[in-house]
Amino acid sequence: MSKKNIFPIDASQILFFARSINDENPIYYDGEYAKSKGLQGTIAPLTFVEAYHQFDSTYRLRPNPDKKWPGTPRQKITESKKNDNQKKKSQSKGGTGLHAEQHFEYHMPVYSGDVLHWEDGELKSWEREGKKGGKLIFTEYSTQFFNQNDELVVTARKVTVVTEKVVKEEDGKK
Amino acid sequence: MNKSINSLEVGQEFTEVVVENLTRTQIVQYAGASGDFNPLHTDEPFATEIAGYPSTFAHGMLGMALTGKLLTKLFDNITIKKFGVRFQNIIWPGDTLTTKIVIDKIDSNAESRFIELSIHTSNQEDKIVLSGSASIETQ
Repeated sequence: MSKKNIFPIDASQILFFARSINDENPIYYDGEYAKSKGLQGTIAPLTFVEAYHQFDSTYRLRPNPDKKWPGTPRQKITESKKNDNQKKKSQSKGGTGLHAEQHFEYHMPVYSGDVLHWEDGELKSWEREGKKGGKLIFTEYSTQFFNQNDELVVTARKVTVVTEKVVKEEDGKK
Repeated sequence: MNKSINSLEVGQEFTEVVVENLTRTQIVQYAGASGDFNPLHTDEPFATEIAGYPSTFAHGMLGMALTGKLLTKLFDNITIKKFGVRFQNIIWPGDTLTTKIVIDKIDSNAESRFIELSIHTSNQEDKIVLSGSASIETQ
């Protein structure tokens, strides 16, 4: 088993995650209840494995002491700073990266106390024109999660889209 | 609910409000729990003045996780084999989201029962924010 990409499943992290979605199902924190449901103990919510990013050293959407994070100051953002940012955006690939689809396939329960590891599948990428003009660049990522016994527990597939324009409510994509 | 799984019928619908008046605080709480601190979700001046959105907005995955609550209320977690969604509209602070799950198909063999579901979550304006499906297998 590869020793990188380790994702320990911790009871506290499950509790925080369940709280963040207002999910009071005791299967996530009450071991006795979970056993009454035929499980070996408390388990993780359906979408919890997405929190593997907490343990992904390359993850970009978390402040990192070695990298500049786009924080904003107390004072009003000046026009020149706004313009700088707009200019940077127009020089880069453009718009915002957004999550378009997410799919999970569940093979076995993910228990509190498990130590998962993950393997990334091959990336797929394609482009198409958006409904309101502007290019949409899609990327599909697949990730397999295995437990400490090397059993496949969850397969995740994510599609992201980078838009050339800011997404308006009616654009029909988040 | 799980007890009456044998009495489910194709076309049957289940609806529940999965979040009422979503707060920016809950979005930040989800950022902390999931590890996704994208400033579009966590930094209002960034989202509005730099990125050009009307406010910060929720992670699509928060919408999916909220939607999953109804799924696990209806079916035991271990019976859920697949759950997938397509994010269709942005979820904003202040939104009240309602999830609707419809039984599309029921099959069975000697050992198991297979149920296919379609899933839609809408906001207070009846605009669908995400739609998807799930597969259930029970003994």
